[in-house]
Amino acid sequence: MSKPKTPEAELLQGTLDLLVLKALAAAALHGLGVSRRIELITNGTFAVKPGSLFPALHRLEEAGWLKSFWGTSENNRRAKYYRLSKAGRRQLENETQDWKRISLAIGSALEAT
Amino acid sequence: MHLYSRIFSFGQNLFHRREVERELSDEIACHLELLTASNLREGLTESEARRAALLELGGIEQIKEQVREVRIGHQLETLRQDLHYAGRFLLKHRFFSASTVGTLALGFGISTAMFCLVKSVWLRPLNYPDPDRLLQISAEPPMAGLHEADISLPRFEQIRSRKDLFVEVAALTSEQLTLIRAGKAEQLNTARVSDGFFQMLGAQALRGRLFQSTEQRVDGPNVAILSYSYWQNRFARDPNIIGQRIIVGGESSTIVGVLPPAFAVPFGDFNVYLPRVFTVGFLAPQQIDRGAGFLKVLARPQPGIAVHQIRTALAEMDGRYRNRAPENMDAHSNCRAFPLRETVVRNIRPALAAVTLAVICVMVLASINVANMLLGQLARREKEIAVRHALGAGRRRIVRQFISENFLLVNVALIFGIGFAWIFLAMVHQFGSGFLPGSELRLDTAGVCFALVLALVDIVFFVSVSAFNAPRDHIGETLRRSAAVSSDHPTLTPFRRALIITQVTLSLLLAIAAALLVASWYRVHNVDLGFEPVGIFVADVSPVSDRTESNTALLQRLIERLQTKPEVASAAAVYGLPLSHDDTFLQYAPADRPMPIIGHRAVTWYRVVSPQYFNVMRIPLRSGRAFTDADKLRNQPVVILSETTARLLFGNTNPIGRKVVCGGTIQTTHEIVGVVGDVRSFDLIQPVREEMYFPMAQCEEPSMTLIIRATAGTKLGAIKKRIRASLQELAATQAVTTPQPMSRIIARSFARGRFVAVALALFAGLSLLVVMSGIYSVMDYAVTQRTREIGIRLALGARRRDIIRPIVASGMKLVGTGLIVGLLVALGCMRFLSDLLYQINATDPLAFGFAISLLAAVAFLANYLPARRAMRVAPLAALQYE
Repeated sequence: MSKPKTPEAELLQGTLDLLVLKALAAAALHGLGVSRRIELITNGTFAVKPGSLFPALHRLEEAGWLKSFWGTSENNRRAKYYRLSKAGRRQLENETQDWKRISLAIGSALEAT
Repeated sequence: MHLYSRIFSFGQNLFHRREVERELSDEIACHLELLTASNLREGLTESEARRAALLELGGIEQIKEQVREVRIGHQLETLRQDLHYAGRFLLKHRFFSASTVGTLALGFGISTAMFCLVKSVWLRPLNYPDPDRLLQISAEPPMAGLHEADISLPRFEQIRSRKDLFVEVAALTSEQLTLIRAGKAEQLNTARVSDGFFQMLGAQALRGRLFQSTEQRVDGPNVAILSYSYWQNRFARDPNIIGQRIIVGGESSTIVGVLPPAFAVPFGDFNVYLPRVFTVGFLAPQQIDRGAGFLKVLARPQPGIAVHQIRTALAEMDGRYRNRAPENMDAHSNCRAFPLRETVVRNIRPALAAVTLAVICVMVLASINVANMLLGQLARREKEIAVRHALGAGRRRIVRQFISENFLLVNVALIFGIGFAWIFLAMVHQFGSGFLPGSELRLDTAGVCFALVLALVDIVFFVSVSAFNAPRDHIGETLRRSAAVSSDHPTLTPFRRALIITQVTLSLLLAIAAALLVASWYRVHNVDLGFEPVGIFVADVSPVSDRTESNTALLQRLIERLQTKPEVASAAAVYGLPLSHDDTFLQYAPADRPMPIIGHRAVTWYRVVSPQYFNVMRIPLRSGRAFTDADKLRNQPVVILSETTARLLFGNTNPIGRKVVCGGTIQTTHEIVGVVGDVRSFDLIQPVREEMYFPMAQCEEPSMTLIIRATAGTKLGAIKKRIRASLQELAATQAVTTPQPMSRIIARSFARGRFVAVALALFAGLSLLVVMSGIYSVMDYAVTQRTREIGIRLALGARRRDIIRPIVASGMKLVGTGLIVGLLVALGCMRFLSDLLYQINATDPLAFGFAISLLAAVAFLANYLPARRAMRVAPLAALQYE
């Protein structure tokens, strides 16, 4: 069963980590919250399915960029929350710089005649 | 921070898996609830909200699986899982596991043991510097039956002088000498070595030093070097050994060195080494000067000189020697050079090759058996595999599962196999130590590595077989297939049929080889020796030093005294005991014809015997008389011929009273007084040789063997005591070795043949078991598949006979093909065994017939029993079987 390959989907696989880190820059969120926030900050372009999100969250946590804790959700239930660690913040900065550099380069490449 | 976090997570995943999984489940459950809640807020009903939430979430199991995949340590986890399932599977199917593990373990064990054996025979004996360059130089044998003859002293010196050809040349000669210590005498394997012998073989003294050149001179001091094992066994590794004196061969020698334990001489195991290779007790100085052969010569050619160049040079040296000293005994024998390695293994090679091939057969058979069993299991698990496909296991994952199962199987078998190898090596040591050089057979790291390599090859073999034959059908079809349709489904793929045929072929080859070798050994065992060995005890008697009384006189007195004792029926003495490989020969020619010159005369083996010898040994007298007391030193020299010699010299005419001239350097004329029956004195297999007997009274020999025929029921201990007592009564100073029964000496000649026959018979038996179990399991599976069909036919009234017959027939067709192929191969290949066969043709029809019938009977049983088992199932039960 392969996912439908939209251009957004392909791009998402490469930059999902960056989006997750950015989504958690402001505040700690649980899984659903991260998904909603990404949808929000990308103006609805990327709707991250749980099948991609959860692996990403766990991978980032194991790398040490996110820290998780159990808290209470808005409907008074237990939920797992994620927040950026100090290393995570640094990683976010680095990846942001990289992304800006790359997009600039590609942009200028596409502008050239 | 980064790395630490990863390591921590790794640890968590590995050791706290359950908590980690539970958290994941909780997290996803929460996510689901949040989605449901948000759907409710949007106005859906509870059930609709939940359903929508589930749809949005996607498959929960899939999500979990994807999270697991990104976890650190995932690979390890799947490996652990695979092994766990493999273990569970093997434990569940206990019979299957036991038979496959058992078969493989046996195969591994035998193969590893064989590897260690071959390695120790081929590699160990030659741990000398640059061993492949070492040559042994020998002379052409004077008669058939020997591989080579010894070199004389003049030839050795001629060879040694050629510094242009050889870097080093050294020689060794062996003697049985008596060693006296603390009043006890012992017969020793002693070697005399020339200057530079040890250095050539790269030996260094463990204690003390090696011989110096000054000690090798004619007037040099009496010194000795001990072997490590002798130092260990007799002197208990006495640290003060250097400087002690021992009496060897009547001379007091100072011990100057001990050799290291790893050092071994290619010509045998020696306890004590002495210098001055040119002074031996069994040759007179004139004989040595005139070319008597007694030296084993080793040479290392100069770098860049090839063996064929050496051979050409030797041929040229033969010519020069012949011209220089035409009267010498060896003037007309040519020298030959062989790489040392060849001479060492020459005797062993055919036996070793036969056993190695047999082992390979058994290993292949075992592997094929296991492969067949695996394929059978695989077919049984079709449904399980299909379901796993449906649950999302990729093809790679399933193949990985096969790999882990086979891996576990083979490794368990490997562990048992190494244990078996250890046992087999112990057994080989027990049976084969008589003739195998390099008696240290150990299971060392090389052997274990070999076993590991075998295991790897087997894993690869099994996995490929499984992977290629794994069911690839569409899942739905597989799941829908039921027992009802299975009769249309071919139960035995051509591949599996080919496996069975191969098994039968290999097994037949082994069975025929075993039958031939066992028959041959039986004939060897029953060969007529020409004398009666049962009831005879032998002991060596030799003088301690130059005493006044001659050995001969003492022995005569000893024999007279012993014959009066109750334990002794009769006694005699001999120089040159049959089958003890103490061979001596001389040149001779009949006196009544023109005699060829020395060096061109015929050669015969000879023995020096006391008058009672033929009586004690029960050798029949064909004509004339035996020796009597009248044949004394001052009287006419006499000789007795063996039948073959008499016939060779004189045809059918009476030889009694005619004369022969014997000897090379010192020639004497002997009158023939009798002819006796032939005796197998050298080897059980070689044809009988020419022999002559001389009376003890006329030929003084340095040491002789006492032969006693004991009265019925006398034990070895009683004989020992009697000999010792008699010697004391005679106040003799001779040294006597421990008596042993003649049968023990003869057994050594049997050793090689017995070993090979036993080994082959064992392997053939094993292979029969393997083939039988293999065919049985395959047939069993085939029949089980058709139980439903059989049940229906039985219910419809078919006779049992009509159902069994086609099943057995189809199985026997396969077996028959295997037998035919095996027979053809055997007819072509068994002749390679001829070296090991005695008085039996390599295509002996009886042996072939026996092997074929045995195998056919076993195969028939293996076919018939499963079919019969299926018959016992009541028809109703068969119909219910699914």
